[in-house]
Amino acid sequence: MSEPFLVSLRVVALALAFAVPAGVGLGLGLARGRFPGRGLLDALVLLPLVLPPSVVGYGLLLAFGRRGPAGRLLEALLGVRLVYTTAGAALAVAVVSLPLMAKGAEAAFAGVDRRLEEVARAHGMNRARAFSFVTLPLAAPGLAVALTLTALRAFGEFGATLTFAGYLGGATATAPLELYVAMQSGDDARAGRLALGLSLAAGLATAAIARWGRRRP
Amino acid sequence: MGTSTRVGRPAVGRAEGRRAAGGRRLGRFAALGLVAGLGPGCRRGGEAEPRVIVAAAVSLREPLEELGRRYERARPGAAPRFEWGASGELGRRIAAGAPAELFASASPQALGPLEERGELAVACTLARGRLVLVRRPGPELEGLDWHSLPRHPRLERLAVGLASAVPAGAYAEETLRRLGAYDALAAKVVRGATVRHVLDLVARGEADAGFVYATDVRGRGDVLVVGEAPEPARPAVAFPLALVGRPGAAARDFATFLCGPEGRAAFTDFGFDAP
Repeated sequence: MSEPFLVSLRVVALALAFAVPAGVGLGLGLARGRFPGRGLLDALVLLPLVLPPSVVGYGLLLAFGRRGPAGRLLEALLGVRLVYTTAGAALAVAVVSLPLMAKGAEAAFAGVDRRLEEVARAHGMNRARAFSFVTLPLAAPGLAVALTLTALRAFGEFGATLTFAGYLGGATATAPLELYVAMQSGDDARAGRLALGLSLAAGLATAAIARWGRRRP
Repeated sequence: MGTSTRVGRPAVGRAEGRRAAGGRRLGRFAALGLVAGLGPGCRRGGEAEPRVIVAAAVSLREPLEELGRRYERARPGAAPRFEWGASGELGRRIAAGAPAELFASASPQALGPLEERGELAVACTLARGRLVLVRRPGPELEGLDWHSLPRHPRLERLAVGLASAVPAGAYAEETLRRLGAYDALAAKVVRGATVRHVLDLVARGEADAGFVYATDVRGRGDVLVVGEAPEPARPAVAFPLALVGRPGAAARDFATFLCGPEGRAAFTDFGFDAP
């Protein structure tokens, strides 16, 4: 019963380890950058959020499956296979949840008044210090909201994970996948327990967020 | 009350806009399901004769689609509609009230609970099949057969249908147990949602080997057929056709056609064994 939730935790942690830095970087680039292809990048970043998860999963399978170009390369160079592995499930989850992190970070950075950063620079801070001590703290509340939404989307991911990484107990079988397989196997008791567990977790998370949101000035 | 209608209306409008003609047909099936749910007596009240819905094992897809086309040519307007899936799952959907009038299963076991409750009656056995071990091509899997399966050093993943839903998976597990090989293989097993999913896993190279019916691999160059299980362990694979509840005349007529000489011949044409 608790194994699927542990798998979920592992998969989400691994996915966030990729999606959060990548999303913050993309968000910063989109908020501040003036470069050719910015509009295209903006559209591409949103795509995994808009596409049906089955399309994302199928695309990943064609690219990162054993016969796909990226999959072949990974296996030849690193001996890594993604289908039926925790890393594969994490990749699917990361791709699907990345847009929320990137767009959230973009909004958070866009809301920071750049003149404050310029003031810090004028007082002798270098670019990196001005960013860490002025921009980042000001963007923090927005980044926290983006992180929360990203993590919640990651926990709820189902379609892309199943299509790409497949179902393997202990490796890719996150709680949502386990629920689907229990239902398909006619094990209503197990499906019910998992649905209840997932609903409770989601309820607690949204309640905590609502409370935390009220406490902020 | 006012809020709920305001919320409800745009959702309907959006659905209609998205699939104009399909939505109407879907609505008709939904209505059919509703009527069927009220009781077998008033199932057939409409002016237009509803299509016969056949829940069918995905392994029977090619012969059943062909027979559906031939039946439609002989009786215009009577095109049966098929719902493909894993037999175990189809059986559970029927038990939950899915509006199928015929059920073509890949195993008599999938009929069991429904048959005991008197909710369906077997019309005939459509065909018999053979469970085979298939593997992906590749020199490193040379020498893989039913006996070397538990010990083969290069076998990392073995695709087996989810036994509680996919009869081919249940047949495979049963056979491996009889050969005393299941325990050694359990850690390498990955599950497929249908027998065709198992085939796809092997064809894509994501699984090294798997268990499907001989007819599933017909005409496919991307997987190699290793063969059937050695004799006393070989499972008897049968595809029964059942009438669900009290089916209408159209469904009974289609069942008679499938069980008749033309139906039987089509199954053997597609590589199945005669019942």
